Amino acid sequence: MDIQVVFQIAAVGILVAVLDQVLKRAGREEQAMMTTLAGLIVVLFWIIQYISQLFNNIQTVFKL
Amino acid sequence: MEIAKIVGVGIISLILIMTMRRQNAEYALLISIAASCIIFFMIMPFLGQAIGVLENISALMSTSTQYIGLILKIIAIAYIAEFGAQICVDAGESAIASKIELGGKALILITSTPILFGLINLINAIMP
Repeated sequence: MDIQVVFQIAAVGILVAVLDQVLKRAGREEQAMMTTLAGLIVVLFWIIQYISQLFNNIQTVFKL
Repeated sequence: MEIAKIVGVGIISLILIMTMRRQNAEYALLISIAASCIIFFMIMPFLGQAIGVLENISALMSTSTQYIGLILKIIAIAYIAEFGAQICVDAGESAIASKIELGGKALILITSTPILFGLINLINAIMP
């Protein structure tokens, strides 16, 4: 079942949120911003793969 | 039961979205996109069977079956436009959603012109 993607995204989101708080407490604001951006980019790559797979499936299903 | 799986995926991703919404909202949006993709992957075989039935019915009819391909293309355009527009509405960007809808309508109008011309020719042929 490919619901793991949802769990992976949630895990990355929670991890980034926790890291963000920890880095902010440690006084490193810019590293906190960097980690949020890095996490977002990683998740974006997964999602883009999924969306391209979705569009390919639509093409095959509707025989375009 | 397929419907149970679909509802399950929807509820699980909803709960995850709710937990993500406070800290970082962009992950909530990404989870909703992933969930809608997963649900489409689940219903994909059933869509294929429905299209097969549609083609069988059109094969029974003696009229030309060229329009079935066009109808399927229009359905695909409508589905993808609706997919994108709903995601933008979820994110709160209704302006972008209406632009996507407009693009979808324009594309559907363009791809449906052969059907219109066929209909008009048919009417002319029938008129005495």
